[in-house]
Amino acid sequence: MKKDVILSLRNITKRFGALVALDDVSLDLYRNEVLALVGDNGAGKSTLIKIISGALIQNKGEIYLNGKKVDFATPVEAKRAGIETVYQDLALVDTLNVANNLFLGREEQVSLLGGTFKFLKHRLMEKKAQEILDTLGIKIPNIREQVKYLSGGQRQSVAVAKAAAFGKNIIILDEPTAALAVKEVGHILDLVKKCKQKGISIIIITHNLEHAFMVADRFAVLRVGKKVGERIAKDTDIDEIVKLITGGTFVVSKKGERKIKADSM
Amino acid sequence: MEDIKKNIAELNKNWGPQISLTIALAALIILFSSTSPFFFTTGNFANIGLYMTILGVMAAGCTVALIVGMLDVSQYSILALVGAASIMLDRAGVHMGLVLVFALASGAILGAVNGFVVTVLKVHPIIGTISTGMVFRGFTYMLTASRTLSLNPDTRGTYYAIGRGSLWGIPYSFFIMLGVYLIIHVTLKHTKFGRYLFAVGGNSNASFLAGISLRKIRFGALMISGVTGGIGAFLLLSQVGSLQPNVGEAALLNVIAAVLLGGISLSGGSGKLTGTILGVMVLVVIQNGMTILGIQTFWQMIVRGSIIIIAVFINVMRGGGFKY
Ligand SMILES: Nc1ncnc2c1ncn2[C@@H]1O[C@H](COP(=O)(O)OP(=O)(O)OP(=O)(O)O)[C@@H](O)[C@H]1O
Ligand SMILES: [Mg+2]
Repeated sequence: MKKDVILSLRNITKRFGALVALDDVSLDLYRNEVLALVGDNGAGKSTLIKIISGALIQNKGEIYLNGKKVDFATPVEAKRAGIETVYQDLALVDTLNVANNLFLGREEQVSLLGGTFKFLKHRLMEKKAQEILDTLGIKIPNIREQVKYLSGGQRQSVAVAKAAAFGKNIIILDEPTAALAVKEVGHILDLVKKCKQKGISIIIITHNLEHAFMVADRFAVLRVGKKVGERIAKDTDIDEIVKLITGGTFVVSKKGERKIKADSM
Repeated sequence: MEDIKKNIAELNKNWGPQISLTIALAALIILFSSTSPFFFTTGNFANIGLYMTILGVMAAGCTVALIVGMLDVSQYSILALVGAASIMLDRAGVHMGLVLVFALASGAILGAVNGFVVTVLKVHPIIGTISTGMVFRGFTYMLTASRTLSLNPDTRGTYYAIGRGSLWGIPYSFFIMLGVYLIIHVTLKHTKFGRYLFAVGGNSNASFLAGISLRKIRFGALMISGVTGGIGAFLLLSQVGSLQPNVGEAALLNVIAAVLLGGISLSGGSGKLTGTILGVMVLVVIQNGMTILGIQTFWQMIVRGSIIIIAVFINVMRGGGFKY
């Protein structure tokens, strides 16, 4: 099977003042694959996906979507191109309910008097919201509940569901399993697999390599703003990825868990 | 039993402030009725109804701004400036209908000035509206030459017909206030703009990422707040017929007190108009009762100040302190 590139990043450089957060990063995302983007704290992972999703603009470099050059000035433009992102700092509004959050920014309205007045279609949106959650197997007792009363796992599920429902081409997840209990992690990773079955390409950022290996087809590793390697998941293992992330050193804790150790601070 | 407990918790979560305010209101009415023969009379209720209209309208606008997380303290200055200019238009022979349109439009424009200061110049809303409020007040003193202005004696009657007239014993002004609440309620609950007010107030980052223009929403909220100041000005003219340039300077905190009493959170993202109107009613009944009982002004000030502190304290306990 010939590999079909959906998103291509060419020589992306991003600076914050004197700090070079991304240094000449080139990366391809293939159609219908799960790419794990890994790297130490501050490696530039979030910065890179924010550039893809239009939340940040690169200083140098180009982005191609399906072979066509794109310049996303805002997150909305990326959304229109079918790229949905779940940001690390969780892009849900606590004081809105589940349904409102799922449709935030794409509310359905009814026009009255030739468009003089437009009103929200509450019922339709609630119905569709319930359907979105049902198809993904997400159980939320009441979709009219404010998001702030949900558990961390439920909130994360809602955020991922939003991306899954509206991302036509690419879904980007920035640490979707951080701070979740084991069972909830399983749920989120199942969601990722479901999205892949729908034919969507997924970029997932995580510090937990076990989680990454459960869903990823491929790995891309960033270290201090540079891409230091790409590996096919089935041809590599955790040790090799850890070496790439840290630049060679890692420690094995007493319980046998691998802990990533910064190589230079 | 579990079910009942759950339902009560649910009720408290959604309607806590409303329930406690209704109880407080009932208690106050019983207290004042039993201590003064003049309180529980249709005449006095009409009085209260009339008195609460200006405060009520402005509190609704203030609620809109607070839902977005902004405190607008310039409303009474907008009322003063719009009111002064309106009286001058009336005295120059402009028809009342046009004066009303002017009051609404100039309220919106002064609200837009606030919007500019807060969203474009990026001045913190409290500092921004204290400052614009000072500017508006300065213009009011300039326009009025620091004197009390009155409506033209020939046209005054048409204003009074609105401001002092009533239907089934209920002042017209009260219906105007209800109309304002209805429009704002529909805007908040059933329009995209209203939804975005809550979204921006609740999480501005998430709203921005969802493609919402933060500037537009904040601007719009401050304009609505300004318009309610303009409506307040028109109500004042039609009820009183004259305007002192320092009008509302002492009442500045009344609107905020009413809104906070109504359980509207200072941190933005939430707020119910039912809370606001109940907050207004409690505050007005306390004031009316104290006046009827002949309680001295300094005591009234002490009580009002304490109410604000208690209201904010309860608010913070419920998790609604300032985000800044
Ligand atoms: N808005 C910003 N302004 C200034 N510096 C920034 C900004 N955003 C990120 N940085 C810096 O850029 C570098 C890369 O940050 P980024 O958030 O992309 O790292 P990350 O790989 O996502 O790390 P983590 O795993 O901790 O989330 C860091 O040094 C960070 O401090
Ligand atoms: Mg990050």
